[in-house]
Amino acid sequence: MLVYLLPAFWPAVAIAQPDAGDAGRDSPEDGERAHEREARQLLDQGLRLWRNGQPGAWLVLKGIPRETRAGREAQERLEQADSHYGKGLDLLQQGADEQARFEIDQGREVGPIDPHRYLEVADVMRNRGRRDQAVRYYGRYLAFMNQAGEPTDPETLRDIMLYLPESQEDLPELRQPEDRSWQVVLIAGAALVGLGIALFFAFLWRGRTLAELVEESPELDLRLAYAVGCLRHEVLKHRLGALGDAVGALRARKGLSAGQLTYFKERLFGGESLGRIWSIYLDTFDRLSEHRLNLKRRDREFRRAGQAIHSLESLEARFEQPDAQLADRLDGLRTQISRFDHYLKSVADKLCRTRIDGQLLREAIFSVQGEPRAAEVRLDEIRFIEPPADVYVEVFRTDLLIVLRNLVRNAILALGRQEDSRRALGMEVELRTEPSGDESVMIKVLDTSPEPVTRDDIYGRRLDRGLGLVAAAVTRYDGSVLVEPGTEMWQKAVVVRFFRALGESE
Amino acid sequence: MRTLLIVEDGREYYDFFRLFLEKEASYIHAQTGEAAFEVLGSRDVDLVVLDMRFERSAPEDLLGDVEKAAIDYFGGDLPRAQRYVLDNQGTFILSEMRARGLRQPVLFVTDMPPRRLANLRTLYGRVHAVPYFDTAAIRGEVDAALGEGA
Repeated sequence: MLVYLLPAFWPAVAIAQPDAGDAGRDSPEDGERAHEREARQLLDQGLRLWRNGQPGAWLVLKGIPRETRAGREAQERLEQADSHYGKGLDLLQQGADEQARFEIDQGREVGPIDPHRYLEVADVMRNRGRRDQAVRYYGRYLAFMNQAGEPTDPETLRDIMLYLPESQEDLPELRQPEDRSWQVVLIAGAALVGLGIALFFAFLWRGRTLAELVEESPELDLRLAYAVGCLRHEVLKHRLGALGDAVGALRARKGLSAGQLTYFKERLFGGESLGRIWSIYLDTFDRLSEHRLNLKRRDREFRRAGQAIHSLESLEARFEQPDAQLADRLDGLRTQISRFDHYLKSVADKLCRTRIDGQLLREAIFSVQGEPRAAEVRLDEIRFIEPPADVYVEVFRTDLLIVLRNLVRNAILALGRQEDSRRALGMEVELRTEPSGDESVMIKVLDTSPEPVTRDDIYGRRLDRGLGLVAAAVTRYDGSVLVEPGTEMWQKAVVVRFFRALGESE
Repeated sequence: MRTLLIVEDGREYYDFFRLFLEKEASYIHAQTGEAAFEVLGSRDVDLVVLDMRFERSAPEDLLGDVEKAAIDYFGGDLPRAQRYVLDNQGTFILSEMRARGLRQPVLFVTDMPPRRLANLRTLYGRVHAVPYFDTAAIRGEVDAALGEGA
């Protein structure tokens, strides 16, 4: 069955592997793959926390094992973000607020701040007489140290306590237990009981529908899309796709032939049962979503489709003597299955898409030009070729901008290192039709620097050039980075390639 | 009588066509691209019905350069490239058919975006698709495909 094949082709999907009993027979390669999968899940979780502005993102990302691809991506993200935050804080200390804000915003686009830096932030605020903010950041720093289980330097702690003798309400973790009165404990206990009851009922209805999850968690889109494709292919097309013809044949005067009857019985009731396959797919979606879906209870379309499948299974005996009533029953179930298929298709069309247009390219270049190091490089020419209209890729826009800005930054800094010759930068987009009928969107960053960029620079994870992050981000979205020799005035082109989204909104 | 060659990794297409479109044509079955080319080289075939995904095929039976796909599309990631070649095997067989000068019209039973179908027609000429196993729709497309060549 197809869902069993998923792990072999997509490490991130391998968490769908249903047979826990196989664990004991895992080869070292399986173990390594599982290790990569777990790391990838942690990366998704950390990125989600960060994008939702929730605490704990840095700790999750920092904790991903470095020997994994996901761990290296996380580390690179944190290092790059930290470089911006560090510069931002230095500039803040110097009073260069405008530039500081720019650097900090740059950091925010790449990853979460290292919470150890809250102490620096607080000190800066304290030196500038901004007591409220200093209190807040000291509080965050101490809360983090507590959460991370790291001891706070006694001198630092004493210094903070002396500065904040009346501000302990901002630092709840510093309160002593004896400060809490028994009344407070009783009230809290009663509130907890109430909360527990509410949670019990909420538990039954926890989770999201597939459509909701796709909208709110773009980082899961590719995996969910693949599972949706497999479900449509394996179950809706191959097992149930000919239901309409069964209905038609049953209603025709001569009815189903013996061969046709066998064909339908094999499709509907032969091999792995439909109910079992359905159940495996529900588990697969659950695991891919990191247990955030509730398809059985909350997703009406999945619920109805599940009921239709179980109803179909219950009709097996009636295929012994098929009649017009069976045709009516099958017709009703076929309508439900067809409706479910349309739902899956509409969900697939809602997957995150970014329009590739001039605005996106300009944003990538101009934001890099605003960076202090890049701003020092005088460019003689910036050349844009407006992309073709209505081109979309299934990539989260923030991630795409990170990729493009890294490539643009790399090109501008290389131009800055060259001798006095002409410094030009260009961006253009080409579409290429692949032999499969798919289309590739090739976003090219062109420059006149003779400094070479090799595939190894990109995929060999040269942290100093920020290109490892590019490779990792691109790989997440089934993309690639290529280096092409330049034509006309250009020395080279670094090309980011993604498949073009060819759905309803093409 | 028309002759249709059905190329798939299992038997679902073959069984369906034989049972529900039995009067329309005679059918030949092949389970790999190479087996299909042998048939096309030795028999008169009016139309080729191609499955798209060949998830049950052995890797050595698949057409398409996995290593090239890995570099061009997936940053060197071979498992992803292998998945891609398998998921789109029907188009790789079609591409090889045309490269060998085999001009028969082709029908896919798969739900593909209109733009992709248009691209396949631009690349390979007479290519048709229906989204589901539906006899009326398939009959219509087979007639249309064979009518084009008449």
